[in-house]
Amino acid sequence: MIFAFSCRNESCMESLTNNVTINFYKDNTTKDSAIYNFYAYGIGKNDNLIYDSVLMKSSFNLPLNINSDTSRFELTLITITDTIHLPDSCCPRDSIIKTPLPDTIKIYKPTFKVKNIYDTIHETLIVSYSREIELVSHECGFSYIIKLDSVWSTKNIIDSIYLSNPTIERGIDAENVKIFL
Amino acid sequence: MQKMLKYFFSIGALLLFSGILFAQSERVKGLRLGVDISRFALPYIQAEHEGYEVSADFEIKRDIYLAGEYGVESINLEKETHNYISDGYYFRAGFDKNFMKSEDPSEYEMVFGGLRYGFASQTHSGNTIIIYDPYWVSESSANLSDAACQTHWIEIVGGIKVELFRNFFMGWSVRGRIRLAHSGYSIMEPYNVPGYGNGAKKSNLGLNFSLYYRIPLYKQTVDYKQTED
Repeated sequence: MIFAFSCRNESCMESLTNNVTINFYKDNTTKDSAIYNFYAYGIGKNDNLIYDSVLMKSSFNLPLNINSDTSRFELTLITITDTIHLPDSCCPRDSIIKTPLPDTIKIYKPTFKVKNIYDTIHETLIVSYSREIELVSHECGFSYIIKLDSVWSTKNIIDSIYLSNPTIERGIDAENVKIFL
Repeated sequence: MQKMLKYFFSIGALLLFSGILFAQSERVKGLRLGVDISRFALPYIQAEHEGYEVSADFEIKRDIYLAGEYGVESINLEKETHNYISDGYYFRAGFDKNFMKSEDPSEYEMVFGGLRYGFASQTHSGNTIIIYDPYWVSESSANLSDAACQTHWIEIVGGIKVELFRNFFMGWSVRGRIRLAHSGYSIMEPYNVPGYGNGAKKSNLGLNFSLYYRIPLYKQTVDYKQTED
């Protein structure tokens, strides 16, 4: 018996995750050395790190909550700085300052150059977006088309944020947000 | 005049000795109706799929047939992430060419190839849709109401039709389809387009197995070339 039908692959071959791709910029260029180390988790998901110590990268993908219109993230950025600015009242000449790493520095003036000082900064990032339901495939099921509305953050080390591409493309790591340090 | 008669008889004698004769005979024109019997087994192979197809062909000129098919198909698909329902109809219209040469005017068997234009119209909906986020561990549900889709395609067909006994035929055909245009696919593409196949693909293959009955309609006188040994 010959039958009229088309064979179907029943397994899901497509990505269902909707990630916002963030690139960090320092001095207006993307440098992998802009961030020495990076940690991130969704607020409320402290036990499930998205990034757990990533060295020398400046591009990150954060998963958006597809069943909400807002996602909140806690970011920990460890940067390398070569300059520490101290207030005038601090530290008489020849004072010794202990740094996070076992380096000691001799102060000569209020602003001084150091080597390999690691600065740990915590930032909160909030992303809001609109969603429209769509079929990914009958094998994979449904997801949402996500368009970013706005992104804002605390400003401990982040200087400004720019929405370069508001459309989230599933499975593609194309930049959506520029964060300038 | 005498020269004309001389040439006339010479040509006649030449044809007689070469053994080629042109004779007039009668060929019965008829409408051949068919049912795709493979469709009755579909629910046993793909439980979510049900459909029926009828066909017709009519010889408009020796070995050239006007041909077409009409059918209905429905889908009732249950998955972990959603339920899907679709109902629709389709038709295909075109021509078949019989490549099996026969000198018998009462021969209606075919080894054929042909072309079709295909069109399908359907409504489909997605119900009890569950969307799960594995990182945030969140879930939402939705329903998509009925949406209408249309699909157009061209089709190349080839097959055979064999006469089992007087006016009853059996045959199969293989079909290659290429989609030309579609509408209504924006939120949800059809799981299956009636008469075409997998809605996610730009081309499809199909097979049919059918039984036919040829209804004799009228006789037509035709010229037949007969070769004597």
